[in-house]
Amino acid sequence: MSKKWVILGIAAVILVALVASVFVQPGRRRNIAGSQSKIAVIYVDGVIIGGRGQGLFGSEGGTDGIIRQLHQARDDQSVKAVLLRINSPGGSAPASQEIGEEVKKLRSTGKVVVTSMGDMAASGGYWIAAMSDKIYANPATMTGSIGVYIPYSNWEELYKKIGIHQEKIKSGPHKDILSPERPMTDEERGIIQNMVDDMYNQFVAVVAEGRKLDPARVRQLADGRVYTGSQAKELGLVDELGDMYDAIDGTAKMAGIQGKPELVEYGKSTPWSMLLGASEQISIDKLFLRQAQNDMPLVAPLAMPERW
Amino acid sequence: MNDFIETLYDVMFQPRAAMRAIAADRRIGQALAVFLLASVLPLLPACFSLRSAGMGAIVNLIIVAQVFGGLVKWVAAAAVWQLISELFGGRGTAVGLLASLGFAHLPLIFITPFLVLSAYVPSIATPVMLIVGLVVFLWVVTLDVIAIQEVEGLSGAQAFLVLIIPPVLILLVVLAVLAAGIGTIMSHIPHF
Repeated sequence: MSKKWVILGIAAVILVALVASVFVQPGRRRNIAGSQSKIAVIYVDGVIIGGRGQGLFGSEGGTDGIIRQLHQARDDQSVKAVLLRINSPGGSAPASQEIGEEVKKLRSTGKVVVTSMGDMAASGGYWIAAMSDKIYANPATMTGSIGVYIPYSNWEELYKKIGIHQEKIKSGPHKDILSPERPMTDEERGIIQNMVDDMYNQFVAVVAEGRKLDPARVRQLADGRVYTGSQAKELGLVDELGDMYDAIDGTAKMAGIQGKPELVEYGKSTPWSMLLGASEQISIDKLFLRQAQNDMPLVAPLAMPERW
Repeated sequence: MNDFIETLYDVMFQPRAAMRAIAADRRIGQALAVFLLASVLPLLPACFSLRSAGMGAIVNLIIVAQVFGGLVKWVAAAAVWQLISELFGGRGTAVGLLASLGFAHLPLIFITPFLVLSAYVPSIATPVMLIVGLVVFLWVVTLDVIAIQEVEGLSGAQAFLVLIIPPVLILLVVLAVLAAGIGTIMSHIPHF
């Protein structure tokens, strides 16, 4: 008899639990997707590189992942604002431009986009930040470096010393432009300079539009130099001095979110993806070494500082 | 019904005798009932929540997938463990083992009230579910070992070996494939 009552007692507890879950679910009802305004935090870390990145199986770390997160934030009805946490020295100019354009599209949907700069948000990192509604930087953040360059190495003398002679049979005179085996001709230098000037003009236009500055004033500031956060604020290149949490508070105010905002992060890494996917922290030295070896993953002009 | 209730009690508090009796009587029908209860009951709180969020269509899919997947796993586990037990000198029957392993799912039912508690008090959800999950997992594994031991007439250590051999083999195969894959890919990465 006692065995029966133990089992029936357990069954009764489970039944009561099930009934409770049907009729009263205050926690779950409050947390139904879309019922609470959120701020999406999207990280832009390391060198900005286009496509899918540089991992073991090459599936994370490039701009494709960041753009995917921007689209997720756009489509998530509960997200009212996006905080871009940028900690990047820059990278590929087209890749930075891609993200910048997606930020612009996100803003056009009515969502607020605010940038919080970390250790650095220079060059390509600043390109992206300039597209946002407001920029927060720490006083010691390194930013600016508004400009573009295309690196070129001439290894001709070294090859002569070690007895290597390279030739290219090409379809046109400029097919091997930027080749490290020979000096650049004046005509080629002019072609590359035109490209760099074009990209630079695009960068200036982006900063002028985003920061509501006169393009002539931007050109004065955009000689490629790096600024600290406090210098950038004086020059109108950033809006406020503060850390990430100051930026979160500011974002919540701008988006009209009452109280402490709920944060959501997309694209979190699992240990498995960190092992097999791309690291966003790509070594700058390795990038340039690969460029010298004509094995450059970046075929685009670079918007990043040459030296620190 | 009384017999079934007493068996449930015995599985919880006198598992050795219970598993022996279940295997001897080949109580497949009762084992199936326990399996279905253990598969479906813990899902119900989440399913009610999904329905209230307007995602009723997915609820049926979840239940069907869980039951079907669990069924396949239950039968496959019984078959594999029966084979390995016979290699160790086991003397039981596959049907008897299947029935006993069905009853070994019983502890999963106890997750249900803790799931509901977690929904009411989200702040303690993670630690509670971690502890409950671990306790239930260990309880189920213990019942599996006891089932193999009593049905096949093996020692506790042998029964435990029978239990872990399949997952260890799978892990070794996965590691071997991974190592082979990484070796192939590494040979194609440019060296600096």
